[in-house]
Amino acid sequence: MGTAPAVRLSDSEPAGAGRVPDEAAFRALYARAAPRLLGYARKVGGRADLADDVVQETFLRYLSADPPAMTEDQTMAYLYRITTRLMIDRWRESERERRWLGRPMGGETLDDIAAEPGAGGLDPDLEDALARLKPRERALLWLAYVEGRPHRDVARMLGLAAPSVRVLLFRARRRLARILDEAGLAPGQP
Amino acid sequence: MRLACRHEPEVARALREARWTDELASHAASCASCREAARVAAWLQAVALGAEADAAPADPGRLWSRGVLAREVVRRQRLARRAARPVLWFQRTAAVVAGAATVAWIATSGTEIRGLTAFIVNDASTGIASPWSLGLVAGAVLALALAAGAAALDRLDRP
Repeated sequence: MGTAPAVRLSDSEPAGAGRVPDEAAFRALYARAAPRLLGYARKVGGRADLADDVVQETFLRYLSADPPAMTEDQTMAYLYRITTRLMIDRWRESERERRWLGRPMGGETLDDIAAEPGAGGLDPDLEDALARLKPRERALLWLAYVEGRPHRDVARMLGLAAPSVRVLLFRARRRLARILDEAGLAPGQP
Repeated sequence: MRLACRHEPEVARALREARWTDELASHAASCASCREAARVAAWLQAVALGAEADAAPADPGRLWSRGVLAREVVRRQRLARRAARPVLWFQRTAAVVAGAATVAWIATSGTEIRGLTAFIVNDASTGIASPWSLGLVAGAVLALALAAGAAALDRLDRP
C-alpha cells in the first residue's frame, strides 16, 4: 500500500503548494476512490441519503484545497479524513435539528442519534449487524479492518487520542463478534 | 483474551490481500484475538465489497467543473487578502500612531485639558481652553474611531 505512485499533478501549475491533479488524473482517482468512499459513507454513516452529498463534498474540498503532492495512499487517507469529518458534522447537524424540533435529547450521544432506527433514510442493509454498532464503532472497524489504516491515522480521522484507538477498536470488535455470533453470520455472509 | 494482539493488523492485511505467510497463518490459528480479528475483518471486507459494487458515484465531469470553480474562488480570495495586506498594515500603524499621539498629548498638556474641561462645562471664569485643544481631541477621537472601524471591517472580510 505504501508503494503506490504519487498522484499525477498538472504541468501547467507551479511547483509546490497549490497544485491539483489534472482532469484525467482526477477522473482516475475518482474512479478508484469514489466507490470505496461511498460504501464507507453509506455503511458507517448509516444514512444512504446523505452519503452521496458527503462524498461529493469530499471531492470538492479536495479540489478546492491546496493539497501538497501526495502518494495514492496519502491521498486516500486525506479523502477518508474529509469524509469522516463531514459525517461527524452531519451528525451534529442532526442533533441541532432535533433540538429545534423540540425533541429533548435526554443525554443521548451523537452516536445514539445517528444509530437510531428511523432517524431518516436509514440504509435497509444497516438494520442488520452493522446497525447495532454505534457509528464511531463502525468507523473504527471499517478504517482499521477494511481500509487497513494504522491506529495513528484512525485517531486523526476520528478526533481521538491515538492510545485510546486500540482499546476502542478492541471493544468494537468484540461487540461485532458477539453480534455476528447471535445472528449466526459467518465470515463472507453479510 | 488479551486486549489485542500485535499481529492483528497483519492478519487483516493478509485477509484483504489474500496473502498469508505460513508463520502468520499458524499464529492466527493459535491466537484467539487474531482469530476473532480475522473473522470480523473477513465479514467487514465482504460488506465493503458489496457496498462498493452497489455504489453509483456521481458524474466526475460535473464535479471537476464545480471543483475548478471552487478552487478559483479560493484563489481569488487569497489574492484579495494578499493585495489588502499593505492597506491593513497602514491602518494598524495609523491606529497605533494615533493612540500614541493621544497619550503623549494628554501626558504633556495637563493645563490644556483642565482648560478644555472647563470650556466644555461652560465655566467661563476658569476656562483657559484654546480652540485647537478641542480640535486635537476631536481629531484623535476621529482617528481612533476610523482605525477601529477599519479593523472591524477587516475582521468581517476574513473568510
